[in-house]
Amino acid sequence: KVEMASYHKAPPKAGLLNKVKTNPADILLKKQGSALKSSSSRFLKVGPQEKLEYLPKITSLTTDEEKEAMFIRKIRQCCVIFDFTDINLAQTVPKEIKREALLELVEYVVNTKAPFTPLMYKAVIIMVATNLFRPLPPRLNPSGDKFDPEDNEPILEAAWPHVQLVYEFFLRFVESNRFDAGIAKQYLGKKFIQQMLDIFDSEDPRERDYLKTTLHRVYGKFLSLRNYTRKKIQFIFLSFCYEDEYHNGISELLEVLGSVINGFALPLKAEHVEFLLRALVPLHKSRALSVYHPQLTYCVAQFIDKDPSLAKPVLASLLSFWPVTNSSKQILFLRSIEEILLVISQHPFYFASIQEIVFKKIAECIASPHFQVAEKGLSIWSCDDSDCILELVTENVDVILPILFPSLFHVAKSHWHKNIRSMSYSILRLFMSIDSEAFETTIGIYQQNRQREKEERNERVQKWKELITEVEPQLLREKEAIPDNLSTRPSSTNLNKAQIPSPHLDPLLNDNDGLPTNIVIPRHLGCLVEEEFNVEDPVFMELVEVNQIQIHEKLRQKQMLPMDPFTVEALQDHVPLDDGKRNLMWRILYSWNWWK
Amino acid sequence: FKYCIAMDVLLPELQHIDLQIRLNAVSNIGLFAKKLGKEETLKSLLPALQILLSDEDEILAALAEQISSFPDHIGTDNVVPLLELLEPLCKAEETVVRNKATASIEAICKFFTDEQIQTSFVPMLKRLASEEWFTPKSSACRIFYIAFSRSPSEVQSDLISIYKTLCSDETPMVRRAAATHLKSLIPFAPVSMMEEQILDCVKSFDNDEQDSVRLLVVDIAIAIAKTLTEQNAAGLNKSIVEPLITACCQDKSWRVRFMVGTKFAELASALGEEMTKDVLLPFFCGLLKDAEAEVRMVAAEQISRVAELLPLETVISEILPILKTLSVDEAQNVREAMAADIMLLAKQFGTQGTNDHLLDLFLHLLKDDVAEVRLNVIGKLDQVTSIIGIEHISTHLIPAIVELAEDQQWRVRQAVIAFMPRLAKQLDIQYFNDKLLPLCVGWLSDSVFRIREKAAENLMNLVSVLGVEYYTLSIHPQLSKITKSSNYLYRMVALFAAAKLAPILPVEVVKTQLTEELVLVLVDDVTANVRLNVGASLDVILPLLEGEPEFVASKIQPALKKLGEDKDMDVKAYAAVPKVSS
Repeated sequence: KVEMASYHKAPPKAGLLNKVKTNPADILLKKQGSALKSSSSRFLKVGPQEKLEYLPKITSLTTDEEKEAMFIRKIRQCCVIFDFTDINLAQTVPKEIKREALLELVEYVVNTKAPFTPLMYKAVIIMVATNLFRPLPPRLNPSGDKFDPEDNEPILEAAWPHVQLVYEFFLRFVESNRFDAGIAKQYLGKKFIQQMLDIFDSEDPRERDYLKTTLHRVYGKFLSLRNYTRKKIQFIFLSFCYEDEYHNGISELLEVLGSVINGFALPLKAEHVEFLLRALVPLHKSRALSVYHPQLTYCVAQFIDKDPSLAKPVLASLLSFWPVTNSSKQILFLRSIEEILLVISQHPFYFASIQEIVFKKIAECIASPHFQVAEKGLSIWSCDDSDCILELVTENVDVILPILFPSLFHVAKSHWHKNIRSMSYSILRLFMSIDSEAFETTIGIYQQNRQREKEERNERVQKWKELITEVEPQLLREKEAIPDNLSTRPSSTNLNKAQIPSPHLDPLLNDNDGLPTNIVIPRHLGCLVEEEFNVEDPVFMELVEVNQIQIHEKLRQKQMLPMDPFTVEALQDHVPLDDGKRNLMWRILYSWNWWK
Repeated sequence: FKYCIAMDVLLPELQHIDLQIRLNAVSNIGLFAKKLGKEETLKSLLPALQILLSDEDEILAALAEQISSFPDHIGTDNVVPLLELLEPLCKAEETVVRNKATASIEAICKFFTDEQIQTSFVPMLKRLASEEWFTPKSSACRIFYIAFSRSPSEVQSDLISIYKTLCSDETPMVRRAAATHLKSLIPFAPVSMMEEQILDCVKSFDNDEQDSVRLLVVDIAIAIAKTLTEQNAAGLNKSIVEPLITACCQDKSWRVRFMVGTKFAELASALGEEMTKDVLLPFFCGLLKDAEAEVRMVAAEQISRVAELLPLETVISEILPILKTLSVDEAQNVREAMAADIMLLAKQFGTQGTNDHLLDLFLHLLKDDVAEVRLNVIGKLDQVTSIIGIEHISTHLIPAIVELAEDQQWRVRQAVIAFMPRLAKQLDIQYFNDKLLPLCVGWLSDSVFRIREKAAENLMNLVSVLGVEYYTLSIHPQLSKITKSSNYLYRMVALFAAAKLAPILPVEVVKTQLTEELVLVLVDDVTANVRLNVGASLDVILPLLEGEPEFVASKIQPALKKLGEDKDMDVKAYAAVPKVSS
């Protein structure tokens, strides 16, 4: 019996919280008091304003009926919503009553053995919905640039002292071993799920952290809502991808999905595959990919690990979204490819079906003038933990080497960055040592191919010219010479505009073999090195000296903008739920007077 | 045989492995069509394009775009086959492709006969609308109006029932598309349909769980109101449009209220004065007092346009008190928006009303902490000066302006400068000279370059308002004083001013006062930058003195010669620019 190797990496953590926790040194602090922001959730309909008073403890009562009634009275107290943006001292006492009621409810749910009654379920779910499901406040900059979680400081939830406890209570309620989803599902339905997914767009990372765990638990307990939940998440992704590119919670949703996918049974259902190909993979298109890339890659890798035959359609669609003009996204795409190759290395049978399309793209990246892209392309099979990829390459060297060789040779000879030249050269040496016979063959056909490509190109240009001459000759243009009387006037003038040469005079922009600008016959192959490959070439000799370059594990991330010290403090105080420190945090919370 | 050759070239290109080569072929498909001629294009080229339909998005987008120009190649009476290519493109995942495909459909449908619409277009539309995935359904929503506007009434009611199912589709993307494009159907719907089927569609949006769908109801309501008014059924506005607007204004999501806010003036004018007063006014006041600053802001931008539709006494009793609270709103964006808009109210209020009710607000906003607020008031001040009346200007506005002339923000100073010529025209010259001329002169030696530059330009504007004599008497002495300033930056200002003023002054003044007393005195300046600008100013002045060759020869040429021998390279370069006509 062959046991399937499973995708064993730990799921990546979502969100800003992580960043604040892991590199606190990276965060610049704003001067105190410079943050002019209104941090408020909306207290538009400030619920039933009953007057709050201290009630006796639930545990102080004796009969079960009395306890149930008190539990529900306390829950009702918690339905009162307070406006935390309004500094009204008269509210201090009722706010504290609600906070203490919540704390007591948490404790009751954790410590009491008595089962929950249907009335209690109903009251709890109404209370949670009243407290949590609210219209989200406007984003930082609703009319200007799109919200970029990398650059902007989050708006923290003003009512957090209460909201956090509500989340905490609900989590413990759902996690309790006395919780019965069969009864709860009468009160917790599709609408609840929909509203919960809506607030994933919240800008407060602490809230999204709680939501993530809550959604995960609810998904686990309510089997009948799973299908619905996945569908709604799919709608969120599709709207994000194809409509507004505007959502704060994508990475958290992906993190939840990561563990959901983990639980999918084999063979995968058609709807799951559709989810992957039509909702997950297109997420690569978004401008904000860097925000949720690790989570997305994790999900995709999980799918491919379950069914390696999916690698081909996934890669084909990934490559068709290739970010041609965005080099930092290209690096992320290369990482996705690397991750997929790692999974495939566990299922080598499927490698043959994808090697050609993947290595063509890698060859293109190696020849990129952007050195980080080239570096990532070159290091895909040589970084420490991916020997398995190198193994695959070795086995299929006769297919892969002819694809890579032109780029490697070209880069080793003429890339502007010395380290990249050196890396290329050492990889060429590596290939020589792997299979010198295949290497010889490749060199043999290399020059031939260059010659053929050149001829093909000339032929193509000629055909276009013939067609255009016959149909619309006015489209053809003559090469224009550089006018030699370009203005030599100094440009630092206040009164006279410097004469700028008009673009149609610029021969560099204009020379397109005389063809109109919308016909571009690629010449990248033509500019590759034409001479014969020689390992002993003196050009290469100096490269041997260069130390093997450091491979940059981390993409150089955008420096975060200065943040408000209060915000940083609030985020650092938040203990991520899956840290295993929740009970510790709980004790801190319990003894913590929030108004001080 | 000519088609054979063209197709032989084209086919391998369309299937080439390199995307760029395929793209070349697709985006120049017109060239091939031209070569093949109408008949062959229809017979061989169109079917050949089918192979592209499984290609990458970039190719699909190019193809979708190219199809709109095909009527030129195959003749306008034979465009129906193009739908075969466009239908699959309407189902593409990528939004760009779908948008281009639907745009092409809109373009070619112009050439359809009404019969072709029924036999070809409507069946395609029905197919798209009944697909499973959201993309074809969204595309169907966008092109629905084409079929709807060109169908007889029995087909129309069939179509609207299909549209209704789209409106209550499970996917929010389809519902959003349906809501966005419903307004393009409305102008073609008869009143009876409006009351029933159309209203049913809107109602399904009204209760939508997604605020991004609900907010689209605002546009639909406006379209309904406009159409009903056009069809002389404005009476129905109350029963149809009012409940929709009520729901939007009271929505719990700020986005929906924000949307009503941005469209309020349009809505009010579509519903007419009576409904604005009876129905909309309380909602508008509500939006101006909304809990969300964003909503207050967009509502504040609409104040003057909404007020126009209301009787003045209502504006004074209902809106004016809110303006007073808005002028001290905690959010600066709100104050900015209202500062820009309430200046336009003055027209409606008239002289008396403005002085009684608005002037205090203006003065208050002029003292706002935030520069943008002050700026917005000053920027529109010229629209109210004629209404306020000269007496109030001098007693109330001028002191405020004098204060702002030294504002810390140079943009505010710049706005004040722009306002000067207007004031000069209205005020008594003596009064202007006493109060404001010193300011105009003071700006010439401002610490910010932009202000000095604007101050020089301002002198030109003042002279064109007040005349040449004013220049000689009041401005020239000031400028010539500046040429003796110890700071070279200020000396340069005199040169800028000379260059600006030269074109509007008579030759005699240009000769003696500008050229001799301002420009040429600085030829020997110690600072190279000043000498450089002498050359630059002469470049402007020289063409104006074409009729005075003697003066040019005796005064200007020697100066240029001297500059041409300067030790500074840039000065030499500038001296070489002015061309003396011989």
